Amino acid sequence: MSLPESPATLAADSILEDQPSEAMARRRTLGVGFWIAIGWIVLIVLAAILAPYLGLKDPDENYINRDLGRPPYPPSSEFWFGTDNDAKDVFSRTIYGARVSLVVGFAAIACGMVVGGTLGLLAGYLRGWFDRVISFVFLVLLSFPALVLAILITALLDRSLRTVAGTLGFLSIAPVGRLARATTIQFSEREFVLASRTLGAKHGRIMVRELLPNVLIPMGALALLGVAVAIVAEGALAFLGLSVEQELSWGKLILFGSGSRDLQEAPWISMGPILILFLTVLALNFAGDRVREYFDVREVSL
Amino acid sequence: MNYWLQRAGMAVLLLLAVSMLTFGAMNILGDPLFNILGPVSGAKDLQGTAQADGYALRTQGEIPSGSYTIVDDVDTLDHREAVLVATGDTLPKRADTIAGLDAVSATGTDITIIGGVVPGQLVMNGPEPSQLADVEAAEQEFYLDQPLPVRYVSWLTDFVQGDMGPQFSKTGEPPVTDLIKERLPRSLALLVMAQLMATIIAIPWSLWSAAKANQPVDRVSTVTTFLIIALPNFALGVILKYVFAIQLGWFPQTFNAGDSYLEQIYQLFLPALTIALPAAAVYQRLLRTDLITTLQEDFILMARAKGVDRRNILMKHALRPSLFSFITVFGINTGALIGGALVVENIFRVPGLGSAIVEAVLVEDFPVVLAIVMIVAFAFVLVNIAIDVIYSLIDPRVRR
Repeated sequence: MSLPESPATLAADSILEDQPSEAMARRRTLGVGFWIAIGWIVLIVLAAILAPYLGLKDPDENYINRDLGRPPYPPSSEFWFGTDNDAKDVFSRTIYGARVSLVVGFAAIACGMVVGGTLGLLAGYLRGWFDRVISFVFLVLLSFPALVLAILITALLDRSLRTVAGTLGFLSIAPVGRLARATTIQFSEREFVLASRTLGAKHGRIMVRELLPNVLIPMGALALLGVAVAIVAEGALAFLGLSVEQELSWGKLILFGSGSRDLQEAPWISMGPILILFLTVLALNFAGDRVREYFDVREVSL
Repeated sequence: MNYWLQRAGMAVLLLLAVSMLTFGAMNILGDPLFNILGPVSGAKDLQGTAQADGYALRTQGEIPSGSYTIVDDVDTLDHREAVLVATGDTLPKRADTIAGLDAVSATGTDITIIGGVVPGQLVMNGPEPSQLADVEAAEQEFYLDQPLPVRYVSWLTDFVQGDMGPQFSKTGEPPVTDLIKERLPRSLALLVMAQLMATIIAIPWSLWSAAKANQPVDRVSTVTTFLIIALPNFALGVILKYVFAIQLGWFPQTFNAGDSYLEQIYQLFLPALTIALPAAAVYQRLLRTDLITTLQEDFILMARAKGVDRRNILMKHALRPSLFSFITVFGINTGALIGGALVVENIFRVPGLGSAIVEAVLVEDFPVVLAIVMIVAFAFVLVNIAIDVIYSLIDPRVRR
C-alpha cells in the first residue's frame, strides 16, 4: 500500500506553494489504496441507503435467546458485533446509525462548499472592503472552537437532522471559504485571467468560467477530508447527547456502550460502532489525501 | 511596534465580535428565564393556548412519560412542538429524564408517552397569575426588561472588570466568576498536560523518523500516525479507558476533585493522553516533513563535512529551523484541542470548563456559556499572538 507523505495541516499562507515533494513521483496514479478506500466508502453508503432491504436484524427488536442466557450476548455468527443489554443487534444498529452520520457528513460539506466557496470566490476576486468584511467574518468564525459553536447552536435551536447538518455546514463555511479565497487570489493574477479581461469579459464570466474551475479542484480535494471531519463532529455532538434526537448515529451508539459497566462486561457494544466509524474516517482521510496529492493541493485545516 | 498595535487592535475587535454574536444569539434564540424560573418561564408564550382546567405544556423535543390530552393540533405545529394538557394529577415538573415525542401516536385526543432517556429541553408549565408576577420579578432582578444593547453594554463593562455576573439559576449562586475560578485550572491543567505530552511524543518520534526517512520503520510510523488521526477523540477516549483503566487498572476511570493535586494530575493522565495522541500524530507528520526538507539544505551538508555527528546534526542544526510550521500548527491546534477537551472531560468525568459549558447550554444558563466562550476565544487570540512572538525569537529575520 502506498502511503501519503504530505503533512495533515499547513498554515493557510502556504497554499498551492510549488514545492517538490517526495510524493511527486507517485502523483500520476491514485494507487490501489485509493480505490480500496473509495470501495469502502461506497460500500458503507450503499449499506446505509439499502439498510431496510439487506435482511438485517431489526435495530430496535430485542432478540432475547433463552439458550444464551441473559443479554448482552458477545459477537457470534448470529450477532456479528454482539448485542447490547436489551439484546438489540449491534451490527444492524451500526448500519442504521450510518444513515444519520453519513447524511450529516455529506450535507454539511455540500453546504459549506456552496456558501463558503461562493463567498471565498467573491472575496478573493473583488478584494477591497468586501474582502475585508468577509475575511473578518471568517476569522471570527474560526476563533470559536467549532464544537463549542455547534453545541451552542444545536442547544438553542432544536436537534433535528436539518439543524445538525445545517450547523456543521455553517461551521465548514469559514475553512472552505478561506481556501477558496486564497486560491482565487492566486489565480486572479495569472495570465489567462488577464487575457479574458482584455477580451472584454465581464466580472461574472471571469469568475464562473475562468476562476471557478480552478478553485473547484483544491476544494474538491478538501471535500473528502471535510466529510470525515463533519462525521467526527456529528459523532462528538451525539456523544454529548446533542445530536439528532430520535435516530441512531455512530456517536450515540458509542455513547450507549461507553459506561464503565458496559465497557467491563460487554466492550463490543461500543467497539463495533467504533470500528466502523474508524474505518470510514480512515477511508475518507486516505482518499482525500491521495486526491490532494494527485492534484498537488496544499490545504487549510478544517 | 506599529505591527503589534495593529495586532492588539484586531484581537480586541475580534473578541468584541465574538461576544456580541454569542450574546445576541443566546438572547434572541434562547429563553433567558428558563433556568431561573424553571418551567414557568414559557408561561408568557402560552397565554391563550392554555386551558382553564389544566396546565399547558410546551416542549421542544421531549416530554416526560404520562398521559396527556392534546389541546392544539399537533399536525399544525412543527412535530417538535406540541401543546399538551396533562390529565390526572401527576403533572410532570422539571425532570432530568424525559421521553421522546415521536414515540407518540397523535391520532386521538389522549396520548401516552413512552420512550427512552434523553437529556434535553424541559417541560414548561402553563401560566398562573402568580407565576406571571414571578416572571416579571425575575426579569427585573436579572435586568432582562432592559433592551438588548443596554444589557450587552452593562455585561461588557462588568466583564472587563472581572465580574461575570450571577448565574441564570434560581439562586444565581455561585457567581459565574467563582464557578470559572473553580473549573478553569482543571481544564488548563488538562490542556497544558496534553500539549506537553504531544510535544514530548512528537519531537523524538519525528527526529527518529526523519533520520530513517523512507526506511521500513519510518513507513510504519507514517501508517501509525495516519491510523491515530483517523480515530475520533471520543472513540480513542473510550478505547484508552477500556484498556488502561478497566482491563489493566493502571489509572482511575474517573476524576475526583477532592483528592490531592498530585492525585488529580495522575487522574488527568488518561484524559490528557486522549487529547495528546492525535495531536502528537499531527505534529509528527509535520515535523518529519520539515526535518527531511531541512536535512537536504546546504548547511547540513556543511556540518556533516565538518564531521559533526548525526545526533548533533539532528538536534542542534536541523531541529530549530524545522520548528516553524510546528509552532503555527501548535497554536491553531490549541483551538481544536479545546473542543476535544470538552468531549474528553465528559468521558472521564472531569469537572472542567468543557463539562460546565455542556451543562450550562442544556439549561440555557447564558452568563456561564458566555463566560466560557469568551475565555476560550481570549485564549485562542492570546496563543496566536504568542506564536508571533515565538516566531520572532526563533527566527531573527522576522524581528522588526
